[in-house]
Amino acid sequence: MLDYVFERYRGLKGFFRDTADKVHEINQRYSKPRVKMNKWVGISLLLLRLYLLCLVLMLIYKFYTVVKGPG
Amino acid sequence: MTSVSDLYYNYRRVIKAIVTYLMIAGPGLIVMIADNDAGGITTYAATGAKYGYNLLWFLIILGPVAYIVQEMTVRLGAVTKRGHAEAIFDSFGSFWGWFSLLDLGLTDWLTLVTEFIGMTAAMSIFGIPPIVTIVVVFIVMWAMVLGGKYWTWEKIMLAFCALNLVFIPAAIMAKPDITAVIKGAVIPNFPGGLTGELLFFLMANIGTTIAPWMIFFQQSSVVDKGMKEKDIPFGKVDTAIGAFFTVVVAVFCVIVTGTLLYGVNIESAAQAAIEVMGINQWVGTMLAIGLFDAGLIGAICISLASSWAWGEVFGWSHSLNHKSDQAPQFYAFYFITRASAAAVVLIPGAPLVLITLFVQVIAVTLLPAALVFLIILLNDEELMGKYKNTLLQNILGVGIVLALILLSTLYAISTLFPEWFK
Repeated sequence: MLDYVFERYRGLKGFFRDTADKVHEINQRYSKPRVKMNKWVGISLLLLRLYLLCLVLMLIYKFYTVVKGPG
Repeated sequence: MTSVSDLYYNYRRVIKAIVTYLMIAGPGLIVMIADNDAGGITTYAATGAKYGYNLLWFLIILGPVAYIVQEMTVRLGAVTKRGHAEAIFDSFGSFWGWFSLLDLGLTDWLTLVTEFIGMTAAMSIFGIPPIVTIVVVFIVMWAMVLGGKYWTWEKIMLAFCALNLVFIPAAIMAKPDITAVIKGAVIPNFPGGLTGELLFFLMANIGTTIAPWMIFFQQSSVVDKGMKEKDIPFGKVDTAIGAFFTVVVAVFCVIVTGTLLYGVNIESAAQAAIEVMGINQWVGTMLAIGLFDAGLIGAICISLASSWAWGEVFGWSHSLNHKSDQAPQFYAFYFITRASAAAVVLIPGAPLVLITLFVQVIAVTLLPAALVFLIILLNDEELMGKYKNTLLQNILGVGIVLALILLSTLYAISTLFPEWFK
């Protein structure tokens, strides 16, 4: 029984290690964006970041109001 | 003699074009019909019950909007031979890549839960327990990919798409007032004025028309099908026909509830089917079958959209032309996303209403990014060559993207804070 648990643990550890290695490889492969960063692309990506930041803040606020409860 | 030979030549040309189209047809039709998923049918049923035929004109406008967005994915997929997730990683780097991939995974999974809610609710009307519905759906979804042939999967999907047209006979049997239907379809009007509630309904209909998974699905599907640059015109026709049918299904669904349930407050399509059954057994049955079919098509496409995207980025073998032993991670992902979403529906007391609302909010975090990336990629001359966006396509595309971002954001805010819109 104990052997079986250790075997599963080793398998799981191997899976997470392989996944971490793969993520690292993907990050290396795509470390440099290929798209030409002209004025319009830069502005679009900046606005997109700001938009997502606003959405995240709004979700945090909603979470706060739900936790706080009415009144 | 010349004219006879000309006629024969033209006849052969038309036949050849039709045969080629039938070979290319698929991704556009499927994605557009799948767009009318369980959530979509609920939205249309509620819209018809609330506003009758008055918003038919608005649904008709949404057809070209969906076409303009989805047509860009056809060109991008056929030219780059890459899915949307991989294209984002490659062009915008790993930050935006991971953001899109993880957000897509979460949005798709939550949407998948809503598809299972729709399917189990529809079958419950016929007395079939949710566990039986889920097991049967699993067997069907698995059987479709078992052969390891994209073609087989696609043709079965097209049969399910054809079943989605059940709303047409349902609407005819509901005996609508044809004059009122035509008036609602051609004369734009805002019943009761532009109130917060009407805006909510308009935004909900837009939200069901353009979903982020559709962009990822169609582009990956075009790639998996092996479409090339020369196939783009057929891909466009396929998408246009799909957009036409998505509007047809939406319009006829609204006609059903607009005729039989006008003035009734509808919370879900399953509730609408039960209410309609009390008036007309056959129409109610068709509505329930349509809801189940919509959920099934949606579930298949959404779980595939995620599996393709993760497969592209992680470098797994990720084609429906591969059998499960040739693409184990791809099919494992396809299975796990479905199994976990189905399991949530079976948990007693699971917050299903909260999940349904949350889907809209999470989708809004991904939709603007996916659309902005789409426009930027379609303007990359190095990537797209002569297939890049023209000025007119950019004007239409950017205008639609800005309107979609604005309206879907308003919809998300109204879902999170309904008190702000009262």
